[in-house]
Amino acid sequence: MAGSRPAYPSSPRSGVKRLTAEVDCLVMAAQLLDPRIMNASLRHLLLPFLAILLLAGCSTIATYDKIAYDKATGAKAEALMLMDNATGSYAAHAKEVEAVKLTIAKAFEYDRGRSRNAETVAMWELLRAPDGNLFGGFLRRWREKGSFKPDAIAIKKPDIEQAFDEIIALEIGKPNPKKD
Amino acid sequence: MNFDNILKDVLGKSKDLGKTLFKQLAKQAAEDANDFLKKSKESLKRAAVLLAEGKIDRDDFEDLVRGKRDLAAMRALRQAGLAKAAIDTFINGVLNLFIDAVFAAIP
Repeated sequence: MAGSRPAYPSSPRSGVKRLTAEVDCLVMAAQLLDPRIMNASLRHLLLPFLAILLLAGCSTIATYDKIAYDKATGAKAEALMLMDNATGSYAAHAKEVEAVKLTIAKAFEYDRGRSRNAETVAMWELLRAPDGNLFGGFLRRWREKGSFKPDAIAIKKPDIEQAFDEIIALEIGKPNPKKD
Repeated sequence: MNFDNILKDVLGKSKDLGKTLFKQLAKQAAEDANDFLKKSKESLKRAAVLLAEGKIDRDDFEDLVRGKRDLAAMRALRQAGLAKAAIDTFINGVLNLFIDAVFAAIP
């Protein structure tokens, strides 16, 4: 799954620099824990903080990104509008379908390029999979069937809306350094 | 500066912060699961009626049912992401407590 792939690499020099800094940090932490420097009770107290300091150097999830949020909300609006047209023939709306697919592909690729963003990437994959049962599956079925009955669209639309909302809600819930 | 006391103080406050943050997360996840089940039940009930009335076909119905499974997977991914976000918020919170405590101890 692409969700587990690493983010686009930064320059090798910056990677080595960061690694060196992390090793230095670990060496310092180990030195601090040396019993000749620190007594047992203080060492016991300090351990959780050292663990937290180390963890702080490697956040677990990407921070909030306004561009990603805008791309997801924009894609949602376009996709839902397109669904309303699915009572008409697929062939008549093929250009619009391609345009919406491109919007979603752009949003997906943007999120795929962000580090520590595996959950969002996996969500996009579920949403756009042609062999799945969300938006990608809807487009495939539209192409195969030719058109949908109005009730078939009405019953499916809330689920597609919800699927986009899941991506949007996670983006909103990511740590926001400007707000926190 | 009594570093021992600072650490004890921060550790105590960190526990409270952790309790609040993760309790909120667990509560939200439980409410979310209930909401999902309720909405899915209503939607599938309506779809069954539409199927019986011939307003949707079998393929539409099956797609809707399978779509709920994909939607549940998306919800689980969101919860996993939000849990990670809570961990990051907790770590930053503890670091801030630590910094505040050290500065407060400086006469």
